Amino acid sequence: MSETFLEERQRALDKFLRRLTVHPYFSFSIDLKTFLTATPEEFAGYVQESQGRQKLMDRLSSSVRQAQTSFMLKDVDPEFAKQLTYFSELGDKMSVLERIGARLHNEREVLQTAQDDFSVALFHWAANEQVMTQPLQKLANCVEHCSHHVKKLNEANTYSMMVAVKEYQLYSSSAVAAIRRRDTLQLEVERSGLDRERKKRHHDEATASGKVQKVMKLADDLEKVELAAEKAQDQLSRANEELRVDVEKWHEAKNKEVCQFMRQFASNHVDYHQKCFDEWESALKQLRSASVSPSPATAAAQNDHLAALTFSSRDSDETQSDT
Amino acid sequence: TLQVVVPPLPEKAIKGSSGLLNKITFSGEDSDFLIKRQHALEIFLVRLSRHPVLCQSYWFHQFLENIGWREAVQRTGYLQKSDMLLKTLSLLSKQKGDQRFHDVREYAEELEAVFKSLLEIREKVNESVKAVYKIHTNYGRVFSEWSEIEDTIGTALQVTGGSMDSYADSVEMYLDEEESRYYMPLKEYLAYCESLRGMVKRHDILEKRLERAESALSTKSETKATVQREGLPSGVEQAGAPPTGTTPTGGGGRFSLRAISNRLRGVDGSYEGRLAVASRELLEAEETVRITQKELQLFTTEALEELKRFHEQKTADFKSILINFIQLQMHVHRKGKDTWERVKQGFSTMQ
Repeated sequence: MSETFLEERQRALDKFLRRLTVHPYFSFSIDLKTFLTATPEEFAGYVQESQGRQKLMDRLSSSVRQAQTSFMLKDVDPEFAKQLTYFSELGDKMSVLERIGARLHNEREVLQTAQDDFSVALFHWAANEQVMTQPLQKLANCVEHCSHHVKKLNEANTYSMMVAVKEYQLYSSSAVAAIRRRDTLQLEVERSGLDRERKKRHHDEATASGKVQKVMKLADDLEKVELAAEKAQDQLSRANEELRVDVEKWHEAKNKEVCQFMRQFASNHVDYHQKCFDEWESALKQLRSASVSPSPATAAAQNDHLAALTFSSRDSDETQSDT
Repeated sequence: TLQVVVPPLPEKAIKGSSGLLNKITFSGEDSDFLIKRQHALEIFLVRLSRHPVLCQSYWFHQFLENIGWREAVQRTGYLQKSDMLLKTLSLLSKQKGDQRFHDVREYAEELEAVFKSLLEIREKVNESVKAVYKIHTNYGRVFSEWSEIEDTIGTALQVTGGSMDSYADSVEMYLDEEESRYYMPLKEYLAYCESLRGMVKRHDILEKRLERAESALSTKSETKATVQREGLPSGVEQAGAPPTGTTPTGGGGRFSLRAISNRLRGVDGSYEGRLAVASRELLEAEETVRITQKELQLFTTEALEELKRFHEQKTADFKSILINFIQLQMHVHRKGKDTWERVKQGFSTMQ
């Protein structure tokens, strides 16, 4: 692993921790506090203890995985349904961006090789000439440097854009999971509501039919079910509220971060093009100053033909717009 | 004749195309090629007109003014002459030779190899460049789609999407320009190598002719010396003395079949006769050598001057080519930078 990769990972982990500490929910987490304050040995012991709890978590999360509850809901909560759609689509976009990035990375590597070969060919040309040797050598160097800049661009993108894209891809998945968990709670509410209605019906029937024993038992059951329904409703309300706040904060953070990594991404390319431009410009300068007297019999025939071109060397007038 | 490095004609057909030598089809690809060939032919004409020697060529003017120039050329029978030239080429020996012309041939061969690889490799570079640019179309699509599900950053993402599309499209114009600024000029000089080699061949032919004239001269000289030796008085009385491989002594009373057949054919087999012939032939051979030497000298002088002119033209042309090539690259990078600046700006005007 290269130096830079480790540094980048460090930075990413740091960012991750920061996110947790400012998170309205996770910042209160005992687990997080323990992780941040305990020594490695203490923390290992802590993890052992919580293994028991872990098993419960696993069971819950597995039930979520099995459930795919969202489409079983009777009253789909429009707000969260919308969010669910958003997060799945965002996740898709991130995957596509990742794939495109990988393709570009590979293609740029091919480009590097080709440019290196071209540089070598230019050196051969330089060796065969006498008057033009130096300008040609400069040109060959220029191409070599441009190839190097391509490499740098690839690296820059890997450690900024690609990392960010991956991160948001994972974020989207966990957001989708969170919404699905909330949906599970809603399902629970609906289910317990149905339960309560059923028990009430039985209770009323029993009362009507005068079976006192039954009525008493059913009253008991009814109470239990009422409590469960209330609890479920409570949980749901709380979850809704927390999730809403969380998502809102998340969007804020996302907007900021997307701006950041897109700016970086664009910067990488701006720098690349600028550096290449500078290379070519310096090659041009040297070429122009090369003492080659144009003989009157030459065909700057090329120039006659090229006079038809639509742009000048200065090009301050960008008359062709790119809209 | 004056020595020139002849500007090359552009190719009639390219490999991988439909292979027709007469490009009269009008499919998209071919009409592209036609346009390029037109330009190359224009450049060819300009080169002829700017050449200090060729612009005064009778045939050049004929081509420009006389519609029946082709028939006029055929009437000169130049085709037969060039055939003969080709036959002579196969007789080239590599014994001696003007190092300067060897250098020219070497230079031409080296240049040919260099330019071939420059053309091939640049092709690969541009394939890659094209691929990289084209992949950005995908970016265009994704960013545009993403912009639709966003609020705050939607506009910036849309600008990005549009920029990516235009970035991808810009490569078309770049490839066109590369064609005229790089490929065409390099192809022309690649073809020039053949012209250079042609001049070297012509020099070699002259050298060969001189060689043969010189060896003919030494043969004639030997012949005369032999005749003179045989004519010495002591030689006449030696009966049965073996001749030195030439005609046996005539005259006197000795019987000789050759002497009789000579008399029948009207050849003067006498000593005086043979000496006269040998002397005449020697003089002719000397004259031939002198003439050929002069021809070779003249050729060399003119050729070297033409080569000097060619190298000057070439250097100036190379400079032009490279300047145009570099300007294109600068333009491409400036445009690229502008496009990405737009993207960057879009995300900077936030919060």
